[in-house]
Amino acid sequence: MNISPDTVIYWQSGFFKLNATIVFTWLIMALLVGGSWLITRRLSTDTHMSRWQNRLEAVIEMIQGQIEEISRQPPGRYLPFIGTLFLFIVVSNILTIVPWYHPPTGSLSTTTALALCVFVAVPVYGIAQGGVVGYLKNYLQPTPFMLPFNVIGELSRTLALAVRLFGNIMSGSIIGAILLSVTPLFFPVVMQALGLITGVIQAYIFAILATIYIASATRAHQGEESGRSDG
Amino acid sequence: MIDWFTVVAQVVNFLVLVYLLQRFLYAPIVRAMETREKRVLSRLEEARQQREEAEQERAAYHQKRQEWEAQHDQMLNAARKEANEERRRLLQEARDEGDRLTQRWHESLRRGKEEFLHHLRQRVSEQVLAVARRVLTDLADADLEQRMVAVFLERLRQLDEERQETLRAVAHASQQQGQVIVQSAFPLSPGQQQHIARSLREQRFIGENGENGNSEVTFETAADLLCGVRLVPGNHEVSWCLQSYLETLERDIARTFEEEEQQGEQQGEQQAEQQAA
Repeated sequence: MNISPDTVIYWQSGFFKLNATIVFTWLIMALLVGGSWLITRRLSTDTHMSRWQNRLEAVIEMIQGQIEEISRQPPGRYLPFIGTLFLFIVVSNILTIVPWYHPPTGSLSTTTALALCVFVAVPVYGIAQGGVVGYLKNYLQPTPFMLPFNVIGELSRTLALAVRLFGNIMSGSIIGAILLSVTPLFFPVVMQALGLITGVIQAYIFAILATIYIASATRAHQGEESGRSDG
Repeated sequence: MIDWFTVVAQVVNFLVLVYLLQRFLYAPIVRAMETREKRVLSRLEEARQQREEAEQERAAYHQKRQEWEAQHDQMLNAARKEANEERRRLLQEARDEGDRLTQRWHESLRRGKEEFLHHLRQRVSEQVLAVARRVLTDLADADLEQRMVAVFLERLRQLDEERQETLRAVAHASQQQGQVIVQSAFPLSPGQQQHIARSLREQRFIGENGENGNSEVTFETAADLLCGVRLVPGNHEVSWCLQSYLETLERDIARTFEEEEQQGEQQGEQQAEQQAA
């Protein structure tokens, strides 16, 4: 039994290797992009539209709504990043019901990669919003003495982000595997169903946390601006 | 636990996925939604404008209808007024017509009365003449015509001086033209004619010339005298005839009729007033 799909290696050549994580990631990517292409190939701008377009629009609208609600900002700039995080994780988690499927999110490497992306995205969005100085000032809030704690907080939350997703998905898979060996008939099915809920919730949590981090980086600057204008 | 190659690969994969999804999913979908939203908004705006237009149209029609109703009322009032005037005019006409008919009836009544009176006069004169003739003949054993002539001559004689002078002057003027006319209802006998001529001459109504005296006087028979004798020199006349009596009689009768009529009319008016009250 493998704890991580990283250990399932299909092909290796020196430093390069093709493990299950990368392969299934590509599969998910192909699924997402292919599905999107199929649906958005013929988009209707009228009030009549295809069923799939309607579903896709509902999903996009939901993501936009969530981003707007949490960040209190127009969702346009954040939609590609946050939306892709959510869609990738949710598809990856839902596909666990498929036999012989190894969820890439069950690999700490994948979750680390995603957390790193968030870790980088936060300053990128912050700087794009308020400039380098404006962003760096956030680390001196409320006093310059808080700088080390702010830096530690930034790092630790990225770590937590990675480990939380990995732990949840990995544990789901492992619990499923263990139960399968103990009570092979009905109980694993229930756990699988539970795993689906957990997977969706985890995807939601990951995306929401990423939004909160990015929003906090941009909103602090906004608040400063509004405070100045108020003063 | 962490395979750093996989981490890098996943980061790259994720970034590629972000790009691809942005390219194939978010951009088209968001664009489509925005387009639809704009279209819906434009349609809503259009609908709002149309509704406003409809509202304005409705207001315009409402106003137009009110104007029309006002006009209609006005026309109706005018027609009613006209009809009233027409009615009044027709009533007036009918009343005038009634008045005219009444007047005509009165006229015919009056004419009938006159005719009756005329007839009556004639009948009365005939009767009176007949009675008088018989009475005169029976009582005085005198010829009625002779008596008439005598009365005529007597009246001529009793005329006052002024009247006599006037009559003489006129008679003389007329005599030059042979125009002294004595009219009688009956043919005068030659003796009577001579008697009259002589009397006229004695009173100098006619000249002395002429032997028998008849030639200056023309004797005529006039039916309208009924009974009597009349001297007509020019415009003046001296007469005695039954006609004057008969006219008096006629006047009396006519007055009696009128009094009766007036009483009847007054009674009719009083009745009408009582009914009206």
